[in-house]
Amino acid sequence: MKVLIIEDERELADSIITYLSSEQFICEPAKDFNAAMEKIHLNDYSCIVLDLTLPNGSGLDILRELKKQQKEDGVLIISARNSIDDKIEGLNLGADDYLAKPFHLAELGARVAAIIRRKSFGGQNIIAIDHLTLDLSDKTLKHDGQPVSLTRKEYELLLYFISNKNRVVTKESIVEHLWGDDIDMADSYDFIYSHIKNLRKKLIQAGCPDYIKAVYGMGYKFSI
Amino acid sequence: MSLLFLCSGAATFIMVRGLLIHELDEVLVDYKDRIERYIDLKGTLPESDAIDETIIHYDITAHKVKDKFSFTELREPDEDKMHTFRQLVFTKRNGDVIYKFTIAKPLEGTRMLTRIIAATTVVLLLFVILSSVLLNRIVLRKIWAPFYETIHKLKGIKISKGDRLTLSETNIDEFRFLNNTLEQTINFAEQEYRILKEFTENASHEMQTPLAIVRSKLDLVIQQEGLSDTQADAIKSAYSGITRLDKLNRSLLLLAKIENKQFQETSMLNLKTKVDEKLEQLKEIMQESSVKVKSELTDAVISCNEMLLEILLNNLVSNAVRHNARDGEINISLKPGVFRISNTGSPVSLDKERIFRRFYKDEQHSTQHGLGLAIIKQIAEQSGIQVSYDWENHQHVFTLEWETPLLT
Repeated sequence: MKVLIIEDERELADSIITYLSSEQFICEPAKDFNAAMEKIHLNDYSCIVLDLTLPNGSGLDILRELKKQQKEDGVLIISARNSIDDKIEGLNLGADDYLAKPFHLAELGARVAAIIRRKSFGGQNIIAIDHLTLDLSDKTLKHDGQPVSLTRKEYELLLYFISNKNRVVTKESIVEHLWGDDIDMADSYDFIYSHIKNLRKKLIQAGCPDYIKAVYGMGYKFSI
Repeated sequence: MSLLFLCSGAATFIMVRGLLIHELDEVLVDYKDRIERYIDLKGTLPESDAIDETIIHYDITAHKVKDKFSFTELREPDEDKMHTFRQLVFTKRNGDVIYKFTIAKPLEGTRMLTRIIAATTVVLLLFVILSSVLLNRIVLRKIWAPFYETIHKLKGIKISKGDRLTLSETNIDEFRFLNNTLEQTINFAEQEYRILKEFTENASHEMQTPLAIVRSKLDLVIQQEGLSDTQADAIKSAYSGITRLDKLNRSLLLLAKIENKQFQETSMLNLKTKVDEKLEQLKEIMQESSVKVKSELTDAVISCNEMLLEILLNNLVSNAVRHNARDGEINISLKPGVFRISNTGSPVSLDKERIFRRFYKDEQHSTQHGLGLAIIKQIAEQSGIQVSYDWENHQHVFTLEWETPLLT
């Protein structure tokens, strides 16, 4: 699966590529408007990560071009212009999602994974990983066919971990993902500990290995 | 004005009177000359003329005296009344005898004249003064009208509200000059203010990309295996620093956007639904810090920008949770037009004057940026909501009041 990163800040583009690249994803960078236009004409991408402010042009024009050519590429807009107008315009033009800078790479990973799931598997709603099966439509988890009951937050937490599997995910990004980025509880992220503890307990009770590991000081890692 | 009027009145009176007395003195001197000539010519004393009102006396005296004018009270021969006379005393030798003559003329005539002249003058003066005052008033009011209009308009100008100064045309050069200068100055100030506001927004925008780079690099660093505890601690601190900077930046940007009126769209919202959503969202966090929430909510409609209302509620409720005591409580009540949220917490009242200012912090070393309440205030102002803080029954109370919009 190919992912195109259209971002003029080389350092940021490098970070995104390093984080997203794995055995599943091949990431290609495009540093300006013209390079991006060329790439979208030549290739089909599972997902395009699109910065709106580019040298020589606007990201919104790239979006228009994609729609004109009736391309099916999923598009995630990342923009420093954290304004609702941009967001609405981007989504109206057919972008799949919008993420304001600065973002957590884990959040970006989760959004890209969600777009690719929607686009590339024909809207297939099942994620199967190791012994786990997640049904996205009714938000349930099965372990080797046996249902495991999860609360809403535990389910979302697990999905977030799976979307960023084998990566360290910080507490901050978990809180922002589950409670929204307007949540202003910067003093303490400890309240997520009980949610993670419960999720781990449920998975272990269902007979799973201990997927979720605490990483000292940072956060957690879902390893397979 | 009245002092000038009194002085000039008195001056006229004294001058006219002096003039007339001088005239009278000349008449008396004239009499004296005629008497002296008569004596020199005929060697006898003249008969006193009974028809003339001039009174002439003569006595024999031992020696000569100098001529002397004076005022005296004498009895009028015809009337039985005392009158003031002007008299001249002089001596004249006739042969061996020296006579002392006293000629007196009544002041009565001159006094009357003096009074009439003085009265006429005073009336005329009064008329002139009154008419000039009246004329001045009318003319000045007309002439200064553009000036007062300018002052009035200037008072109503609020640069922070983006008002522009437009002054009406005047055909008085000085005022046109004043108006032009004022318009230029105000518009220049307004432009400067706008640039300053845009600066905050632009600066915040520009900070987002470097912040994104730093955060993404930290996200990558923590992926590395085998970080030592010291390294992990350092990264953790850097990470939370970036998070704080990000939040501060977002809040500044939000404030700038509210000020620049980028959230003008309003809709009718049921505040109860919004409060319920917010409490549901924060449920776990409140459980974790064992804060008890008591709420009494009834439906209440408010006309507000939806996003701003959510931020407003978010800040109020998060503040109540964050600044609460362990096992504390939060009381929320909602009635049409009034929303009250109170919480236990620090045992002293906050500074009512400064609490809504930017970067106000209760504790100096708080990790909070101190913009939460400034944002609340800004949103409230923008949305026509009154927000106030009170310290009641050992609880911090924030009250929102607004006028329930008429449902159409």
